[in-house]
Amino acid sequence: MGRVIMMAVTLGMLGAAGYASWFGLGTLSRDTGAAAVAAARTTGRVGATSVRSGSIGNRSSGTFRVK
Amino acid sequence: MTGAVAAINCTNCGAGLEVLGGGRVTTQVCGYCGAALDSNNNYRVLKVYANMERPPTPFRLGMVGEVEGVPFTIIGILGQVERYEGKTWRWVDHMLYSPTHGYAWITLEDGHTVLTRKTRDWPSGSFLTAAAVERAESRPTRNWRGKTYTYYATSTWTTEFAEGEFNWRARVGETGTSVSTMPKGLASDKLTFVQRPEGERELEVSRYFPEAAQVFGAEPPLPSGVHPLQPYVPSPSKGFYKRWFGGLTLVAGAAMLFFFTAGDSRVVLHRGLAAEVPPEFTFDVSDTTRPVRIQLRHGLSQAWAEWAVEVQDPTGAPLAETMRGISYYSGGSGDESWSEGSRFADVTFRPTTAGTYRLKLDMAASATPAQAQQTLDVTVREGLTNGLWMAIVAACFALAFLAVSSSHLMHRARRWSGSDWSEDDD
Repeated sequence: MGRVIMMAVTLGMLGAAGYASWFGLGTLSRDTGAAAVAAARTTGRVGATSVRSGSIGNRSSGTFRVK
Repeated sequence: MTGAVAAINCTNCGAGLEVLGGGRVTTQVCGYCGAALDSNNNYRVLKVYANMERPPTPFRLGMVGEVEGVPFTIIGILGQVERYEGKTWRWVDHMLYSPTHGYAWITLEDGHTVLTRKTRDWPSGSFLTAAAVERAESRPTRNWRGKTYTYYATSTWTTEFAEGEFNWRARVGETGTSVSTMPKGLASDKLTFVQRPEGERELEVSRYFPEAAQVFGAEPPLPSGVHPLQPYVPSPSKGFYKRWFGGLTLVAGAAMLFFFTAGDSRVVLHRGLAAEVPPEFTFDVSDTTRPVRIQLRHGLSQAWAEWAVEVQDPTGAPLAETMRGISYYSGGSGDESWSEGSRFADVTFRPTTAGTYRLKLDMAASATPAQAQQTLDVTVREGLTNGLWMAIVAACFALAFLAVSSSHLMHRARRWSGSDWSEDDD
């Protein structure tokens, strides 16, 4: 009986891992999706016009263009 | 006395006591009043140990059992205790007597039973004392009958309960020191160097004796933990579990590789200078059951940049309006080198419907020329899988396989876990 339960549990683990792996669970960026976009627009913290670039040392300087 | 059972009345309380031991018995302790009686002097009272607490044991005086083909009778019971650094260990010694084979012991400790006999066949080397162990720089050893016995532990014990007959002046409060040694390999026997306060030295040989309760007709005790003398007995299911978890590890490992590489058909949207990125890309998505990943690779060096990323589905609904920073720094001195950051960034989203999606990338128009003139690769991949989950279960199965496969090694480690020889001593 214990052996059957162990086999069922491990096969269940294998199946669940296969499902999660096949459907790419855990890979989505947290800032994607309609809700995330709406939240970003509300807070105004991110957006297409929020751009920065730069470097270090004497090679160049950066530009900030933030909403 | 062989073949006959004698009896006396306790000279202290008058209780009837069986006389089970042989002619070498010197002391009998009454189980009713705790009086220690001199067997060689008309059972006169030597001392009375009142209110002794009887240790838990399924064995009783007078029980008879066959040990290695020889009938033995339980004639005495001793409750022993060792206290060290706030810890307490208790065990029960049962003295056995055979008219033809003399005396032996059955020790009950943590539900395990051990058979012990004295030997006059001393090992080569000096008697191993606690003081010698203290002085030793490595684990002391002794050779006996072709085997090397390695130091296990030193025990300073005190008798706190006595009942029955003994072939020495057994008394409550008696203390002694035992230094035990065992072979390093498979569990076999234990060689113990016993020293009593009076200076008497004895050598004892012990072996695991789990059938003791059965042969003496006692209720079997419930063992806990692994005894130092306990041989390794593989589970009947070990072979099955080994094959099962080995097979699952292979299957999960192969699946993990598949998921880490499956569908890795990236579509290149742009490969060129960052300054030449078009304002908008379009790409088709047909699989809506799995995520889509847009990946940027900006060939920066000693610099950073941030990209604004917008993604819209075929209906025009925004799926991402966000930022991704890319930075990469490196340096070195002599043979040492370092790097920090990554030239990669990605945005992974769940597609809402099949069709053509739009992507907008924007780096600041006033970005420094050095960064704008670096290469930028933009790729998109649909049907994204995540092999991490399969890697986790593959690791779990592999651990289970290793645990099952190395159970004999773990058993050996647990046998020796009670040793008081610390690594610092080694």
